[in-house]
Amino acid sequence: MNCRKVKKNLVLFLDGELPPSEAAFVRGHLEVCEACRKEAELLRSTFDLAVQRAREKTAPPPPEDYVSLFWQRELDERAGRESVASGASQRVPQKTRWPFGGVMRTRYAIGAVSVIVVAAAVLSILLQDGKQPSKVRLSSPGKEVGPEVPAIVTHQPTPVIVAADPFAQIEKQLEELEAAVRKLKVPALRTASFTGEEMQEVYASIGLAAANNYRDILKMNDVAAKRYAQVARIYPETPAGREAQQILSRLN
Amino acid sequence: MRKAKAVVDPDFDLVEKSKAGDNAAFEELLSRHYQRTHAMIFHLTDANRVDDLTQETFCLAYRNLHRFRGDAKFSTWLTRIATNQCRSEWRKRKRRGEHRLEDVPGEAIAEKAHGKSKSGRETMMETEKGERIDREIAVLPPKLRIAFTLRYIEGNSPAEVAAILGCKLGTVRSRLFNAREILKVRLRDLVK
Repeated sequence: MNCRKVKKNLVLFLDGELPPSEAAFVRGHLEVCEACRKEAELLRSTFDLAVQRAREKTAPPPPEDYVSLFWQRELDERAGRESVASGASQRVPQKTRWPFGGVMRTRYAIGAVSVIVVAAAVLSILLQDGKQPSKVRLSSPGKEVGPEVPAIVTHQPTPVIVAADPFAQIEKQLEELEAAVRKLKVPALRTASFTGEEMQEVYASIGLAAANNYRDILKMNDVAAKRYAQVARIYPETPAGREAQQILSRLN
Repeated sequence: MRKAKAVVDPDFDLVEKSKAGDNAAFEELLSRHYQRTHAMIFHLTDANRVDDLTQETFCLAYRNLHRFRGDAKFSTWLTRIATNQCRSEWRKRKRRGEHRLEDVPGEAIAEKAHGKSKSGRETMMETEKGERIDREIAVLPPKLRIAFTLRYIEGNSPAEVAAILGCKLGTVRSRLFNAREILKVRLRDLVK
């Protein structure tokens, strides 16, 4: 009976959390009961092993600029939430409980329903003709026999050009052009004397590439200015906000 | 009617200022608690996600500061957010079919801890032993692991752990007891 009571309280005893009277009782019991003493020793040694190891593992230092990283992340997430609220972005998938049990994400549910609807629509179009559904040929418009299937218009977003380093891009393009010029079989160009009509064309193409890149830079500046304005507006009293304000004044 | 127990919170003023929209005050809270939270999350998850989860914890705290009623200390509230983040991370990994084991930076830690004077074989054995202990802690049931880490590695009192986890003191004691019993059985062979 005593052993069971002692074992129940061993963890509290080892942690020094037992009231003095009970601690004295456990201590007295451990002096006379070898089994309980071994049990206590095993509990203590395995615990020491685990805790010592866990404490040895020192966490890597947090990033030095954690404050600015925090504001940046907060800003990103706020922007994300605002766009979700305005319906511009994808909604966070909600869980849907199905009548037959189980949980499924709404996104998948919508997907499944859309597939069924589209399949039903296609089937009904095919069956409208009823007699010759097998003659429908989508791939040969000249010989179409079946009903006309409306073309699915997909709106693809305009790709946004984000150059990682526009200056490096310009330099890379110049190098590529120069390399191409060197490969040309026109002797005047191989000598790179920068004369002749061909060379002027090369110049023109270099200029065009540079102009394109310059336009990208302007576009990027515009995006950056908007971003800084957002930071300055939302976090006016923070270092990040003040820095954004300074950069904005420089840009303007 | 039960009265809420008054808690002396060293962060009280900063929290109130932050609630009023003073971002500099929140930055002060950030610098006070970042390192501690970062270390705690490190002990509960793997090293790859520590920075991310810590940032997320503070973002959640910042966004939900208006819900903080001051019944507990700010640090307790923050730690609860952090532990919830870790549990959510474990759930995500489980859904993805990943193990909840830590990335064990074995040799580096072993060398750092024991010096380079030991022979290669000894170091390897130490490393293996260390990795085994890491694994056994990592595969403890989540509730037990959190209680164990908060109490013995982070050094909180049982009452503080109860406040962080929002459960009774008896529940915390029971979890600590179970965690230690499991470790006793699983690490028995490593004890000489």
